[in-house]
Amino acid sequence: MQELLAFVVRFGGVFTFVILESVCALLIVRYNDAQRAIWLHSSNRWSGSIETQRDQFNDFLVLRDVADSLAAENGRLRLQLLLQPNPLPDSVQLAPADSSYTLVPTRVVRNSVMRANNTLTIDRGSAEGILPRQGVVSGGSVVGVTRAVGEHYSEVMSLLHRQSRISAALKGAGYFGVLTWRGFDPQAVYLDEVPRHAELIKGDTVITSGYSAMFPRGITVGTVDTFWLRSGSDFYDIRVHLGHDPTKIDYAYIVRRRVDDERVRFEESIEDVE
Amino acid sequence: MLSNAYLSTALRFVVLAALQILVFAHLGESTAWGPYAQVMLYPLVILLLPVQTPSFFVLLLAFALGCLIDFSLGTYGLHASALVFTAFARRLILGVLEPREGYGVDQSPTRSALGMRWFVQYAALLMGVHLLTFFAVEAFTLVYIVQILARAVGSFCVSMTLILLYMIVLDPRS
Repeated sequence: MQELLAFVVRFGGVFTFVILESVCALLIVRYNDAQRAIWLHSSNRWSGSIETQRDQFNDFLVLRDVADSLAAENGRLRLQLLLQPNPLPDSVQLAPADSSYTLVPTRVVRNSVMRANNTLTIDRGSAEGILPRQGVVSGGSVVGVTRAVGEHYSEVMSLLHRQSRISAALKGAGYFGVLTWRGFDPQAVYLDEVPRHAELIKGDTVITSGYSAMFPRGITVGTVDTFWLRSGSDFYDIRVHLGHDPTKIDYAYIVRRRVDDERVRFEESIEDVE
Repeated sequence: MLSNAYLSTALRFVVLAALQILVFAHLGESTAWGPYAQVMLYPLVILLLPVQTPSFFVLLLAFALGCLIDFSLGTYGLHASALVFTAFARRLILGVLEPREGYGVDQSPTRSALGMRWFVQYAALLMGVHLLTFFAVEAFTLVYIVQILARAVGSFCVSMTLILLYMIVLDPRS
């Protein structure tokens, strides 16, 4: 008790002083316009900077959530992009050219280019109306032809396959031949069976001929890289530079013809006879 | 003696407050030099309180006097905060200026009790504290430190002159 009294006696003046000055400060800020303006300005700036710091700290804390939600949204958008019929602008001209074909978007889930016979796997199958011997394009140029079809996956015989034989033509001139691959270079396929009287220029565009039901006429294959005549041969050797990079295929389209197409049935019946 | 001190303090309180409110506050009101030569005589009420007055009472009296002036002049809290600060500083300065033999019982810090030289020091220190505090609080920012110092120095000169005149002419004992 005595100590408390001593304490009050010793520091009572200080307490009184602090309390009275607080009251004065309150009066000053409350009732004097100039001082209040300064006070508000300063305190706003102070609290504003505190608030900003707190905000930044909170932002930092939720960064992970933000990143997660952005990743989720990214996934949804990518899915939408995949589900859209024509996300790639340079393949737009395909569909209207021949209304008996439709494009089915697909992802390439496996790809190979370094083997002697290369294939791709896509994530569309019979459930999506995919049949064997349907063309596959990517970036507006030919990739290959479906071979084995599962329920949700299909195997695509790449252009870079020794057994791949796709009918192609020189745009403009109209001479046609067969695309074959001789192995090794994933950028180069050969257009065989173009007769020696054809007029060729480097850079000529090679397109699908439309002579099989797999591709409509006019899909780009690539451009003429080099060509030569072997002595005694009646046909050119034409090296074709592919219009797409076979080592980089993420998305592709299956060129689906109408199921009840008479031409398909007719061609298949002939093949059976042969 | 003590009741004498109470009486003279009460008298000074009324007279000096009235002088401040009615006269000094309006000196040079619409002139350019007005703000730089403000007369403040009322701190004398606090300055001349008996040395042994409890600091609690000194502070309360300072607050009351300051508020009376403030509420009369519409400067809510300005004079009060400066005078409360001065009252708080008074105890420290009394401690610093304490004569070797100490203060006498019921002694008031006056010219007659402790000498002119001592009183000038005492009054100058406290008036400096008071005026600096007052103008700093009035500006409420240290951005205008030059103006604050100029006003404090100018007002210090005129106020000190009047305070010393007051002490010489009236020569209060308590």
